[in-house]
Formats: sequence, C-alpha cells, structure tokens
Amino acid sequence: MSIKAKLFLANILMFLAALIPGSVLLRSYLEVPQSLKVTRNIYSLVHELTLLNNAMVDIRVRDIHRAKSQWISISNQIEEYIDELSHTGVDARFYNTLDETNNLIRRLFLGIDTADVTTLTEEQRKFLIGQVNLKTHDMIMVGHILLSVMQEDLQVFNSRALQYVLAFFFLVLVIMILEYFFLTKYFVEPIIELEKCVTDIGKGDFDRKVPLSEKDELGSLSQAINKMRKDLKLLTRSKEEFLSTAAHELKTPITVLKTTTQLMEGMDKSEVTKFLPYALKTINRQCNLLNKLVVDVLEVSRLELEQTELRKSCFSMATLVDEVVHNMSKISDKHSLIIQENTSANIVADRTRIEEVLVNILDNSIKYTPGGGDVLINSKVENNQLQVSVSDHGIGIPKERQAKVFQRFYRAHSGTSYEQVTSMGVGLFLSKQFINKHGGEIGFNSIEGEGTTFFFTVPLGNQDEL
Amino acid sequence: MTDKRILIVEDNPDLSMLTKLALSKKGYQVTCAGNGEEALALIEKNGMPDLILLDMKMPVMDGWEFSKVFRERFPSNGAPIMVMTAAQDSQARAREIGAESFIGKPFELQELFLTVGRMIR
Repeated sequence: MSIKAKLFLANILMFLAALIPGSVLLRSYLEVPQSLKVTRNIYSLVHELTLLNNAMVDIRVRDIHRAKSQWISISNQIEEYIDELSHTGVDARFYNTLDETNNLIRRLFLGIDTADVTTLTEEQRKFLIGQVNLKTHDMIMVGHILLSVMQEDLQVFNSRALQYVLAFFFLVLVIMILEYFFLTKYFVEPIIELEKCVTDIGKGDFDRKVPLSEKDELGSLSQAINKMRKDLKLLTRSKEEFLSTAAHELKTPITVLKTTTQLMEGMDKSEVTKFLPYALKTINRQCNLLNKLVVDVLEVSRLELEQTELRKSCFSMATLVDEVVHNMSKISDKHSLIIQENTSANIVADRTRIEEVLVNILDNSIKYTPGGGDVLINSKVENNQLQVSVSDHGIGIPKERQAKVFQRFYRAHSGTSYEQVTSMGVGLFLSKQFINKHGGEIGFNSIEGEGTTFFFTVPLGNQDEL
Repeated sequence: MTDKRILIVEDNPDLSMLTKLALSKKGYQVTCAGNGEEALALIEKNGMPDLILLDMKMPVMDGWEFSKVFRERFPSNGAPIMVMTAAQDSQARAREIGAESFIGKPFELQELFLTVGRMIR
C-alpha cells in the first residue's frame, strides 16, 4: 500500500474518531430549553390526575376520606410542579390556571369535615364529586396543552441540534481534507520525489538532482543524497576515465613492441644484427613502462580493498636518491636533476614505495617543466623525520586545481597540451597514500607560471620495527 | 621507389623512430616531429609533405590543436592527415578533426603500408 493510501485511511479513522464523541459532546453542551426539563413532571401530573379522576367517578361515601388524603398529597406535588413551571418561561396563563384549579379543589375538600361526611346528602356528594371531576379534567386539559407546546420546543431543539452536528461534521471534514493535502504536499510528495530520484540515481542517472531545499530533515536528507550523487558521479566518471586511460596507456608500449618485432620479421640477417641492440633496449624500456602501469593499477585496486601493507627495511636514503636521480636523468636531456643536499641518515621504511613517491614527484617535475631546466632535490633530517623536497621552475599548478592534486585519477593539466602519454592520474594519489601509511606528510607550494616545490616527510623509524 | 614525403608527429620517440624506419624501407622520405609545434616549424622549414601521420595525445601542442592551426594556416593546400591513436574509437577522433584517414594503435605494419599507400598516390 502506498504512503498516500495509508495516510488517507488514517485520515478517515481520525475523522470517525473525532466525529462520534465530538457530536455526542456537542449535543450535551447545546442549551436545552427549560420547558423541556419539566416535561417529565407534566407527564406524571397528567397521569396521576387521570388516575384520580377515574377513581372519583364511582366514589362512595366512605371513600371520600381516601379521596381527600390522596388529593392532598397530589395537591402538594402539583404546587411544586407549578413552582417549577413558573421558572421555565412557559406562558404564565398555564400555571396560573393550574394554580387556581388546584386551590379550588383544595377548598372543596377542606370544606368537608370528616365528621360531616355521613351527613352529606346524595345531592351534595354528587355536586362535590362533579366539581372535583370537572376541575381535575380542566387540569388534565392544561397539562395536555403544555405537553404539545413542549413537543414543539423539542422539535425545534432537535432540528437545531442537527444543524450544529452537521456544521461540526462539515468543519471536521474540511480540516481533515486540508490536513490531508498539507501532509501530502509537505511530507508524502517529497518522499515520493526522493524515492524517484534515488531510483534514477541507482540506475546510473547521476545528473538527476534532488530538488528539495527545505531546511528540515527531508531537506538535509536530499542534500545528503545530492552529495552522494555528486561523489558517485565523480567516482564513476573517474573510473571510466581511468579505465580508458589505462587501456590507452597500455596500448602505447604494446604498439612499440609490436612494431619492433614486425620490423625485425622483414629484415635479413645482417639488418637484424645491426638492429638488435636498439631493439633490445627498446623492448626492455617498454617492458619497464608496462610493468609500472600494471603495478600502478594494482596499487590503486589494492588501496581500494585496503590491502596495502608496507614491507619495511633499513636503507640509506642518500643511495636511494642517487639511484633514482641517476635513472631519471636518462629520461630527458633538457632537464638537469641536481642533488643540493643529501642526508646520510638511514631510514626504516618501505623502500619500493618511497622510491615510487620520489619517482612520481620527479616525473611530474620533468613533465611539467616542458622547456627543460634545473630540478633541485634536497633531503635532510629534522626532528627525527626525513624531509625531502623537489623544486622546479615549470608551469606550476593553477590555484583552482591545487586542492584536487592528490585525488585519485586527477590530472591537474588534463585536457591541456601538457598532458603526457605516461600519465594515468594516479601517481600523486598513490604517493600520498604511501606517505600517509608511513605516518608522514606530503604537500606542495606552487605558483602558476613560476614553478612547484613538492615535499614529503617520513619518520626515520627504528630497527625494532623490523 | 618514390620520393613522397611523410611527416610523423608523435611524442613517443621509440614509436616515431620505428615507424620512420619502416616507412623509409618502403622508400618514403620521412621526417619526425615530437609535437604539433615542432611539426608546424618543420612544415615551415621543409615545405608541405605529402602526408601527415598525427598522434593525438602529445605534450605542448596536441593533435587537436595542431589540426586546428594547420587548417587555419593551410586552408586549401594542406597535406592529408592520417590520425594514429590508441583511443578506443580512432575513427571518431579522425572525424573530430576532419582527418582524411586513421589507423588504430597497435597496428600491423602491412595495414600501415596499405593505408599510407592509398593516401599517397
């Protein structure tokens, strides 16, 4: 069931929950007319008077006493009822009539002395009975009229109560509908929107921006999703780029190797003999290049799986710097790699990785000093840390690109004419990971157009680690 | 034997050297440039070759920039360009810069000879 359907159901339940007790409460709070409150009394009055009247029809002499005492109790009650009636706003003529009749009958009865009962002639008795009968009948008539008046009051009251209940019903309904649309607009629709966006992003549509900007939890959720989307987009694009670059880079040495062998196939023996030294050197160089590319790819995936482990040994930093500089000097005859200062300290670290860092940095310095020139190398020990720096007077790194230099697959000069063949954009990323793994730091100062100085530190370490 | 002239614009010195060797054996006059700028300088100096073999990714001036400048400078009398790239879709690269022909790296020498032969007639 969708959220909207659930919300709709919940709304209906809440509507019923509010409506039933609401209308009952409402009815009890409605002002009931005073007259209606005494209806029951009028009913019993009429009832008792009717009983009395019936009894009087066949009254006998000896029963006069009983009739008198019965009347007296009824008469008191009637007085109470009349008193109540006078407070209800019923037309005064009603209760005045009742009062008068009541007093008349009372006087009739009081006029009869108990002792005289036997002396009453048949005629007198008939008159008495007739009078009482007549008056009681009047009272019953008044009671009926009163009741019919009250019936009208009741109807008026009931229809008014119905109007109130209907108005209440309508009000609750309107509130519920408003609430439903409010909840839908501000809670359900954003969630549906988010769900759609995340589904699209999941399908690989990384340009699908989550459009919510409210400053609530949903807003921060969509911001988080947007950030995730951007990161995913960047990572996916970087990976695609990396793959295509890696394929491209691998093809270059393969092309050289293939062309070399094909050329040799078409040569005769003397030509082969002449060509062989060059071929061997070329093949060796291309194999080294291929190896470095493969190692880089492996290191990147190893770092991703967090499987990189340092293989530490104790070695002389000066020797390492000399070796690297010696090898790298062959790359370009336009550049001079100059060792200004070289520490004599031994260091406990992963030699292969430190060498790769130095090679990557020097490689960048050479690459991004296209006009050639001096590259200065310094190594020294300070605060129990090895410090190495490499300075060039190359093209520098533009300020806006400096923050991304150590990112994976990032090439500061990607798409510019300084792009070199042997670059997959992982060199500095790997270097930073290696140095950090050693507990050291790597960084650079660069001014565009003036040059760059890369530096890194590595703790000297001690033999106990081995 | 022919006196047709080919200019190779390729930043990998080994590949440049080997291609030159191969084409020279077929009798072409081959010169090499390390990037687009050098290539333009060489054309200035030695005159228009009969075919330009152009790598795309190069330092200083890459294939894209070179072809742009080249077409501006020689709108009608420019030599045909043959793109030589390791990109996934070398044909698309060739179309991008309006080159007359293309060959993907790594290539068979026979294929290179055939394509070059077809371009220079």
